[in-house]
Amino acid sequence: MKNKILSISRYLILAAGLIFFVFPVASAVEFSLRSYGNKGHTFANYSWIFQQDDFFTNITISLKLAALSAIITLLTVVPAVTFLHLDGQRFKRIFEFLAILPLVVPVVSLAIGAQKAMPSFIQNSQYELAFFYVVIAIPYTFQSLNVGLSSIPLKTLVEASRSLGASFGRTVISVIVPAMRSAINAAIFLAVTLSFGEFTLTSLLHWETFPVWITRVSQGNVLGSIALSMFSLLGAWTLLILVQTAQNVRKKRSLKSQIEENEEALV
Amino acid sequence: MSPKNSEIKVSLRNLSRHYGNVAALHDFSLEMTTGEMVSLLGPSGCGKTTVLRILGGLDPQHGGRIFVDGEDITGSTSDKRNMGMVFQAYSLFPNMTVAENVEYGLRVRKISPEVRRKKSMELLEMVHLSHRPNAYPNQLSGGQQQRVALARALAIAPKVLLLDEPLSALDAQVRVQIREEIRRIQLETETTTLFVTHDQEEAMSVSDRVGVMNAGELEQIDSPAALYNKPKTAFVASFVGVTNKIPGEIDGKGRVRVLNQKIDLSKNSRSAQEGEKVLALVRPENLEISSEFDTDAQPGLVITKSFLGPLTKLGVDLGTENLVYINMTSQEARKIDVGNRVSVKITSEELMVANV
Repeated sequence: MKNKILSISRYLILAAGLIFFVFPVASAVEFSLRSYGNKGHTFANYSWIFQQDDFFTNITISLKLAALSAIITLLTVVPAVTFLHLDGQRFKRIFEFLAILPLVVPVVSLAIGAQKAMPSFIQNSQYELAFFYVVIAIPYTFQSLNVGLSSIPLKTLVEASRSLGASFGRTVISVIVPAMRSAINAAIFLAVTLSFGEFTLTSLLHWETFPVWITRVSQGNVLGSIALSMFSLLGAWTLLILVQTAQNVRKKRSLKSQIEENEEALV
Repeated sequence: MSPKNSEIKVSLRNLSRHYGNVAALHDFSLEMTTGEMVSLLGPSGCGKTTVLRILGGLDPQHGGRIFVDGEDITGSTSDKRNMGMVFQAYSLFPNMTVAENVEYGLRVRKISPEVRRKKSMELLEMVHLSHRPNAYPNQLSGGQQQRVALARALAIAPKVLLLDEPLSALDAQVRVQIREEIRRIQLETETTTLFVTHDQEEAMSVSDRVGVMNAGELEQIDSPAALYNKPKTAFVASFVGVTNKIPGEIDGKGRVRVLNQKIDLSKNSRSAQEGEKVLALVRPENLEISSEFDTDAQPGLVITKSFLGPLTKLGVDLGTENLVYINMTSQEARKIDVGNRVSVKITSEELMVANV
């Protein structure tokens, strides 16, 4: 009886969760397919997106900024957290404090301060945004890398590699990066998604990226703006599914090799 | 279990290292001959791992020099020392298969794939894992991982094999099995080996010599039997094996008066003044127990009785602060039960003493 109640309550919670998640999305999809004047459902709002002159310009710049943010994260945050785990335990508290700062500093202060701090040749380029995006994403990318690396005996792996005669460069390529792959993937995914969706800071600095453009055009076409939001959501999900699929393929390969090994052992 | 030959392979001279004001290692010297297996034993924080890490080039020393095969390698980095290492934590590269892990050091040395493959299979055969070359580390048990780590360390034909408590994460049965495998392989390959452990049974059972460390210094290095039977310091006597610490007093002839007996001080014992209160260090097997009254012995009450297979360990209250433990054959112990009144006598001719 107790198990039955537990089972029913489990399904009820799952159903509630699904309704909470699916209902708004389904409603938004339905809304985005409506036509003005209530003349049935149509894909006109989605085709409208691609007819906008600035669509490709803005999505391209957002994608470039996201890619640049990912590269800067790879070149700065990843080495910093790696250092922290290899030889910088004494700096752990300072790192953790610095990593949380972007969450407590208001975006307005960050925008003005960071803009002033930038060298003038970068201030005039939209690509300066990538540096700010990296800073905004640090609380998440740092934590993701920090937790990921805590589960790996990184220092021991490096020492093992070095004692076997590998140079530090070779150790980085052959041991550190592959061991950290999942943590790095997660950090890059976070950096890309946060960069791709950032609105406030970009808007305050008067640059136009995809999210800023969506806000602007939505003022003239409500149904089109919902279609745009759904389009963005679909983009994020596609990325998520691609990452998940890649991980599943690796897991399946590993499982397949394990099964083959066991079969060989039995023979 | 004697060393293969007396040629000096490793010479550590006057090593020192400190963390802030704390000396982790103080004026430490050790020589190892070719093919010898030396264990460093000691309590946590005594500096044994520090010695191993300095020899492996993983930590710098603040003083002293290191010679291997007569060559001064003090300033060289770990990748240039050609020393295989097995760590306490599992250290296999998770992205590589078992065979790739074993071949890693050979690949770094640009050895051809055919030779690498042959060598790795030989070593996997040696550690009984030749049937799992394509497994990944997460598909292996802890014991199997440490065996692969051993094969990987041996693949580079190291000048010295460094074992940093490699068995401490394994369960008791696997520990015994793998420590015997380590010794067998070490003897087969004649690899000079430094083994760091805090488990005295482990150190005593596989080593040619055992060094006991305390507070960054080497108290004594000797064969396991000599270390147990002829400890040179009170610390070694109390750290190696089980030792009873029984209160006593020094008499006018420089003997120790303990359990109604007067026994000579060991020549290795520290000197003591007449009338000084001391703790006599007595092994359980150097105590004799009898159910009959003896004026030369100390009367006591049996409090505990633990069956250990061929031996039985009795805990006797002799009126001292702690129980005194006595080992006897299980057959003899049948006559004595918990609650019996007994007489206890020291059988050794000389004793070491420690401060109260």
